[in-house]
Amino acid sequence: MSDACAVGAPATDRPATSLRRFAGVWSIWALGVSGVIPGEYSGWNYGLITGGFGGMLVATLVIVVMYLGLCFSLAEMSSAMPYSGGAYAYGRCAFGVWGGFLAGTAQNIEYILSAAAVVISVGDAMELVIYGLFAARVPELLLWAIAYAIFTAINIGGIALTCRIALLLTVLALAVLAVFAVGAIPNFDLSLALDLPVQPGGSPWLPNGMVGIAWSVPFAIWFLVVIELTTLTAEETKEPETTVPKGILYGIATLVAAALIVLVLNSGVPPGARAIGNAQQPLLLGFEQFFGGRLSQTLLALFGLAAYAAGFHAMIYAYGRSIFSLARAGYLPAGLSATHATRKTPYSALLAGSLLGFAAAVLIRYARPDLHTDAILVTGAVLAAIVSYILQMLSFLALRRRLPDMNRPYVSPLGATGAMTTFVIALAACALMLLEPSYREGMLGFAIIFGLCVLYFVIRRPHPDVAVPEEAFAIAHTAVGHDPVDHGNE
Amino acid sequence: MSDPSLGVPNGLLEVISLAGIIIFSITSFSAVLSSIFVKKDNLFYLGTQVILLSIFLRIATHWTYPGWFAELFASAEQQMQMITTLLLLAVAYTLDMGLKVMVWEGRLGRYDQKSVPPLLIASGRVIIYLFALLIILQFVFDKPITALAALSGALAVILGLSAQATLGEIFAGIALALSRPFRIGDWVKIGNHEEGRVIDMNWRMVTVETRDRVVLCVPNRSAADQTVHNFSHPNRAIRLTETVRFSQGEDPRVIQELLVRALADTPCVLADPRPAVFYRGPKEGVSEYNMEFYIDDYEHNDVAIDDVWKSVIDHIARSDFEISFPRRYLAIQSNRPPVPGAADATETAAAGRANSER
Repeated sequence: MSDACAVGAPATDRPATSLRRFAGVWSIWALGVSGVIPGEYSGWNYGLITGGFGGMLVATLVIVVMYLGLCFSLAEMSSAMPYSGGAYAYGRCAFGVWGGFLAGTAQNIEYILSAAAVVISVGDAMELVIYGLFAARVPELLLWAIAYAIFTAINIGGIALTCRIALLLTVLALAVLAVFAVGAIPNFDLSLALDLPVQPGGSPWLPNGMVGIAWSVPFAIWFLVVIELTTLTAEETKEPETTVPKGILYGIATLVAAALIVLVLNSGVPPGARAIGNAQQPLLLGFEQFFGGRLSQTLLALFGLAAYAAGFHAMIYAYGRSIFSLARAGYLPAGLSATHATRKTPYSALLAGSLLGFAAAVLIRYARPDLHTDAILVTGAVLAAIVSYILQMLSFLALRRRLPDMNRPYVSPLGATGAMTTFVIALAACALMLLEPSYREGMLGFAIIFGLCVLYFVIRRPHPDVAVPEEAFAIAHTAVGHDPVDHGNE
Repeated sequence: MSDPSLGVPNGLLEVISLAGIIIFSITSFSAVLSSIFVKKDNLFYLGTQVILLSIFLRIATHWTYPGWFAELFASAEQQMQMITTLLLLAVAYTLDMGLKVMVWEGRLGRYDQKSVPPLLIASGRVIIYLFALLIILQFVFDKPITALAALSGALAVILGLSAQATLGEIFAGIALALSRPFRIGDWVKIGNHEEGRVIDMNWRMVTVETRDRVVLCVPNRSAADQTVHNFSHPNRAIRLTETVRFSQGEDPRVIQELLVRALADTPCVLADPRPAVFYRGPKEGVSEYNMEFYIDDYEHNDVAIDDVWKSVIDHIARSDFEISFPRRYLAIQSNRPPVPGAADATETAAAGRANSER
């Protein structure tokens, strides 16, 4: 085993890939931050209603610890396995074909549903901008389709274009956050953050008592979810063994700072936590308050559009690579692994993911018009993310245990304890979500999609292509499960 | 604002301390889980996490006591005492585990697990926990520890005096292990001892095997006090010099080229750093040249010199040159016929001059 362990992934022995190597540290940082930035603009604020300012603060700090453990562990695994499969590569190496398939599928669902949830915010912002400029109304389905068409086309246009657009949108979205922070400081009033009615057993800081913290956890996750998409850039990065870990860690540092700034400042500005907690656009509501009528609605909508477009763009990138890797290895139909001849982008995976996401959004909109479409999609995406975190952390722990001498160019300073912490918090968050009846539709949706994927895998009995880098690495390091069917019947 | 319920934080510091308690309870639990399921080393993290947990528990005592711990402890002070005890024990545990992971099994154990005697580790642990216990008794529970401290101090003195020599060896061994003047496998010459290869280093002595397969046991204190020549570290390449002489009439450049070729053709001579030949001028009737070359392992220097000379002789045999040796001329001069009567004195003087020239 020790000989095989020494193989690792030296810089000079990188596998051939049909993708183009372009990204550097800041491109990866931009993709990671842009994927998460919509979470700082809206979605988190419902946690103020469930837990109050104090409850949301505690939940956010716990979730920050979970993501720190996740990011350090992923940095280690991505440096050892710098392939575009992400969760699939790690699951495959640790738990064989089934492990790879389940982790990869949870990851696919996470990105496709996140993008579908964000396209609704993109559509809302586009509608406001178009109405402000031309006083015309455009049907929302058409706006979603346009958004999908534009950003899928940019992603097919090449990794260089994708990275530059991501960097531009990230800098814009962070600049808006910075302006918000500067405007919010003189308007900050702690009593506004504590203005929720106190229930029996609560306090002004925790109006719903200790249990409120638990209900705020899924909203706190929305502050940082999908940061892990940075690991999918490995095959399009120069020197991925060192660059990807740096990109992930710079990204999470930026986002933790942004999340804490937004949570504290946005909760404590007029009109107060109660109104902010129920707002569709909490950040823009704050802007409206302290800049008065000097900022037009159209400009505010443009601010929001920059952030939502940034996230939407990065999520499309992520499912493109994730679907591509599973298809390349033979887990999904081979047609999905086609790459563009000149632009070197996985266009069929991008198109398929976009179609599925669009279909999911439309289906929920028409099947359950009485509910918030984006809330259902967000719940499904967060649950998928948690399932993929649980599987990835189990992979990390299994690899640390079984292959302690594997070549790891970057080693997590938090060690197995960090990964175990993430695993424990993710498991608790998963249990909390299962207990909450309002998440039922989203979880049901996730369970149906996940179940269908597993059924497909069992019926089709695919035989992975041992030549793809993720499979080759796993086979070189372990002798776990080459035949998915046999393994599944064990 | 209405009155907050008991045991529910109400204030920034209280909320932060609650977050700290939740987070570090989870991380402590995770450290235990990962030490069971992944690797025992994670117990080191347990100590640091429990320290942080107890710090937050201390900060939170004023609001956690009435709501959470009123049934467990008689008063908030008692709760504080327990938390402080936990904190100090966690500090002692972290020190103990830190020494184990970083020193005993880390720096000192990296090359040789036997380098630290179990007795030393055990005494280190006893001292750490004893010290923690004394601090807890004195500062947390306000119990006088003078008698206990005096007793343990006296015990330490007795132990120290009776094991003075052995302790000296142990500490010299630790100094050697930390400063690493040599490692196992290095070729060394310690003081005036014969040179040889280090085959073992333990808590009492360094064992060196000489070329004649004789084993030298050098006590750690002696090894730490004396000058050490290390032929293998920081890198194994070492330079050797051999001298060769040719007749004075030969062109030094041609000779140098020939000798460099001969060195380059010797398999055990390293190509990098390159071998070099230096002309040292005419000496004692011949021209002297120094051949300087590198070999990669001092252990094989005899073989290397043997190979070099064979190669040099081969190259010279194929050329028009030949090796010369230092020459000395003896001139004996006689000036005039011996004077009768002074013959004995003249003979004695000439013989003396010839002897001194020879």
